[in-house]
Amino acid sequence: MTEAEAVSVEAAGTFTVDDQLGAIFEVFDVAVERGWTDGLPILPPTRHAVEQHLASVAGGPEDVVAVLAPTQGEATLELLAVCSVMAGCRPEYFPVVVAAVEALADPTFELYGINTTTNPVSPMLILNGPIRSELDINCSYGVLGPGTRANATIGRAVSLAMINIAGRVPGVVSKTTHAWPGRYTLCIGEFEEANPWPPLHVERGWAAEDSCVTVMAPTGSTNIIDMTSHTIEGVLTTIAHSMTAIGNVNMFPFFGLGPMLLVMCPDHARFAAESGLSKEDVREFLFEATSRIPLDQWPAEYRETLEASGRAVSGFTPLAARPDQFEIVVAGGRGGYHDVFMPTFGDSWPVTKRLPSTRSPD
Amino acid sequence: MIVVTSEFVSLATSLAKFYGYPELPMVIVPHPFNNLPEAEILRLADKHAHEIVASLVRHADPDLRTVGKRGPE
Repeated sequence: MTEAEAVSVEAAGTFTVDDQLGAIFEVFDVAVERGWTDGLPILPPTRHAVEQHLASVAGGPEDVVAVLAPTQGEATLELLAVCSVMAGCRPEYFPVVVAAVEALADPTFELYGINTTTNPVSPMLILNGPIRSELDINCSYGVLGPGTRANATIGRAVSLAMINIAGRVPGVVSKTTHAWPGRYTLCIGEFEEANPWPPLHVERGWAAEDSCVTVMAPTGSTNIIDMTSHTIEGVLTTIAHSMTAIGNVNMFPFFGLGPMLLVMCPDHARFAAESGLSKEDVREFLFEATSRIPLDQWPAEYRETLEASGRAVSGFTPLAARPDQFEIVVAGGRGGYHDVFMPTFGDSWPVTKRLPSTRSPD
Repeated sequence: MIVVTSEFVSLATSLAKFYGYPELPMVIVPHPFNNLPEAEILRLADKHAHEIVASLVRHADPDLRTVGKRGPE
């Protein structure tokens, strides 16, 4: 940053700093004071840095990418670039941030509910295609955790957009009881090279050579370990029974039924494929194995509702209504026998956008 | 108008403002609400019903306020 460079966020105006290194601390203090951050340090959104990010996408700074619920905040390219810089993104990451925010605003994603609910839900980005290697996106060891700049900062840029543009302020607009660490950042790549099946974006209608971002709305993550089963049926039974805790949101009888995300490790996915199972076969297995949850496992207060709604039949309740509610991606390190189940916010459906931005030209 | 529990007043106030209704009338009921016994919910409904009706009537379109006085036509 050059001396006395201007720092700007539209809502708060511009201020100048005159000590190059001290400015970093000063800007962070100001950002905390003005509610721009998630609590972690930010990089100063200087004019120069914001312009570098804007140069990586088509369109002008005032172009509105999306209107974000619940504040009806207009996510202009400039505001998104500010969030991207603050999060620590490199300029070439910015098209992913823009496409992800476009995806979040799709009505089927239900951003209004996600940003206001008492649930701990947060947007999750899943990247597919060549962009993963171009941006050095982690798809492998520790994919859901820290360690890779692109994953960490792209997810964080979207999170900062939720705070600064969508108004997701805890206790004021967001009534989330606990939230969860995924709200800081949550961006993974699918490990397509270790995936024996078609990748997520191809299943959703795009070409393998397209780069895409898919957004989902998980409410947490459950580690599933199975290093004991000698058959794929055993592994899938372990996975299925880890999905049916009656307190998870997808089981909640008043919310209806939504998608569920299974992040399968490469070794289990390979085991399934070598056992002759397609991804559809895995979905069918999970659907059947989660379809007979005894009604008497539910508290008495639930049973009447479950029976009246038709969700309980002959003394059993299902987790899903259809096999295609099980979204499956392959990610994580080789050599482990862990999968991750991520219950979602219920009636919030995945949305996929192709990169670069699929916005219509003005 | 809206009915909201005391825990959600800040959210309701913010949303009313975001959607262009900063003066939206609000009837506030105690929190918690959804896990109360049915009898207690009915008691609260009785307690607040007049307030809800009064708010609706007070803020209704003037033409609508006369509908009930016209009688069957």
